[in-house]
Amino acid sequence: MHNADFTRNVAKALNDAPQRAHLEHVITNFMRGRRGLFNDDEELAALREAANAVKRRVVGRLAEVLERLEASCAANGIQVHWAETGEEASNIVLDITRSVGGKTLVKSKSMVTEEIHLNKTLEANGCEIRETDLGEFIIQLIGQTPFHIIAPALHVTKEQVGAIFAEKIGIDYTEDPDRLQAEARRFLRERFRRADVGVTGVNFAVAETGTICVVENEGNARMCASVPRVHVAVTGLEKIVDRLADLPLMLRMLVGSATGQRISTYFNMVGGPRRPGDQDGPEQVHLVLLDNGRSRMAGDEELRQSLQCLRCGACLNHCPVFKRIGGHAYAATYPGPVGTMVMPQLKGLDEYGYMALASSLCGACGEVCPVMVPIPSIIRRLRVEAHDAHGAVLDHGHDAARMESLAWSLWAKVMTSPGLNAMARKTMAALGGALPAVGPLGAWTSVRVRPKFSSKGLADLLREEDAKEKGSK
Amino acid sequence: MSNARENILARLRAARAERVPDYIPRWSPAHPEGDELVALAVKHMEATRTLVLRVAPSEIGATVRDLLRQRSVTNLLRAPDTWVGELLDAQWPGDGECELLTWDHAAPDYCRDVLFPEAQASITTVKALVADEGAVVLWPTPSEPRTMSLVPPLHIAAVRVGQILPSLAEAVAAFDWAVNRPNNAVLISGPSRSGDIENTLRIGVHGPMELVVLLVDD
Ligand code: SF4
Repeated sequence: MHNADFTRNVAKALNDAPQRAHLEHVITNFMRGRRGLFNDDEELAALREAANAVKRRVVGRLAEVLERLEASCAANGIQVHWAETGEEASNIVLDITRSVGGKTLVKSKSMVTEEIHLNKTLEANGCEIRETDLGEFIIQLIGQTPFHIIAPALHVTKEQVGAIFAEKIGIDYTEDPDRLQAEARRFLRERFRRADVGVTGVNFAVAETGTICVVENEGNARMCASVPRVHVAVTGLEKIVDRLADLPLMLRMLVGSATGQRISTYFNMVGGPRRPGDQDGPEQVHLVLLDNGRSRMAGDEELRQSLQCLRCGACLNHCPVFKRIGGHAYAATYPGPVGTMVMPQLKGLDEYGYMALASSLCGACGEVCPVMVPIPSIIRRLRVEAHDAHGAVLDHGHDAARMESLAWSLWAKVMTSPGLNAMARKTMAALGGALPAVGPLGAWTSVRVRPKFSSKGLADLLREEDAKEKGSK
Repeated sequence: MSNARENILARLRAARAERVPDYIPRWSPAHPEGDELVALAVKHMEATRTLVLRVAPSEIGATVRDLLRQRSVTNLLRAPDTWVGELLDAQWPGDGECELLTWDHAAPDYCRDVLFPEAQASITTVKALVADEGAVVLWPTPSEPRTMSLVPPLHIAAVRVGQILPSLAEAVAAFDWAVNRPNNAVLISGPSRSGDIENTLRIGVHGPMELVVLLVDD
């Protein structure tokens, strides 16, 4: 997408008053919930330090940690697959489904499966994949993408849900949320019972023990991981913790930052397929490890911190930009600050460079992040990378316009030469008032107070001060 | 596909390894004991809309019967070979008002064929109750399988008071969890819930609509 399209999306979102009011309400709830749980600043600071250390250990030595995870999983009977791209990952899920003669899948909420467009691949190949998280179920019925990484259908009203259910699953119209929820339950129970394959995301994979952990409130992810004969878990290769003993802290930080709960309703820890004598549980468990740009991020010491992210959504909830424009305006799998940070890194600055500009760099996201990802510094870095021919991010330097480079080198020359500096100052003092309101500068002056240039610069003022002081002695 | 593995690992190995701190700071939540521990556990479980009932072992049968009767529930799945199953069987009145179901290990697919369409309630034992989180910890077994605590609309978790531990961190240590790896473990803090319709919390979406914790005196 181009910056101009993004600007159009933003204008549209800003003019959507009902959406803005609802978003404000929901986000205030999330913020209040988080604050209610983490109400001791000193303790919170210590928890964040500890959580940061846990994740830094992982992203700082990913090769070693991944090999350990793979070995532990194998010992548990979990089959590990590696995918360099989203397409590869989707095809792995498709191949597993076909290998058991399956056609129907049930899936729980997972951002990484959105990232790889899993459903599209499966549907294009004759499979039926059903979203089972209530929010995801709703938006799948109308062909939309998640609005918020932890509240995908946040923008849909109960009246709209009623209309969608009436049209798509054939129930009588109702706008009573309890009845709508009951209808979804009834509809999906049969799907759980009959599905060939269950797909889930992963919140934490434990390298030490080969355990796949899934956090949820509804119970659909447990269904997906327990009822079908095959369970496939898909994860970005960074969502690992070293040791089982790291889990209690990381679980608290993830859930508390997301919703303010002490713990989610369910914390499911899958340690392998059913064993002889077991009465239920999948006969096969697969873990798909996805790269899709992550190993490139790991190569840079600053950027690799992006891989510490737990996908809690707190940075979205505290972002003044997200709060006003919502998730869809970004036109990206991951919206808000976390998306601004990761989309250009995953998919390139060419396609997603505009996101790096959609931040006021106010710093709120970095302050609430449970694992202390320095989101604002990384966003600033991405802005630089867009103009940097020697950068580390995909498509770095794509925006390095010759005129702009020239302008900055000229600026540097003027600022470092006292003579040129004085000359430029005098010129601006004389001509600054005539700054054009049209042309390239119009975009600046149309939304800002036109700057007034002083006839004296800082150097002149200092000189005057000095002279005064000398005079008074 | 093994190519993908090699390529990914090669890229990751090429990255300059960070000097990471040797120790990981430990997080140690509160560590109450005795009545205080029980009170904390009850407080946190009730906060997530779990009904907590404290009973003597001799009252289990009557308490469970009342619970089911109030909800017009007419069957209950339990495992006869667990401590709570044994107590229930001994105390259950033979009036046929509420049937005790047993998971039939010889059935080809009890989960899909009976559990889904018929079971209205289940009662299971737990591995522990962790007070700081406010959740019961289950390690499913062949006699109490994974879906037994998930599919029936009412789930009763029977906890002996002595099974309450201060936190998940202590449970991980107490059970030597990293060594004794169960192939499934689950923490449950309340009834199934969702906030997906207009961000208002609603109970009972895919899992049990009600969670009852029976706190049984040792
Ligand atoms: S960047 Fe931090 S705050 Fe944002 S989603 Fe990730 S972990 Fe949460």
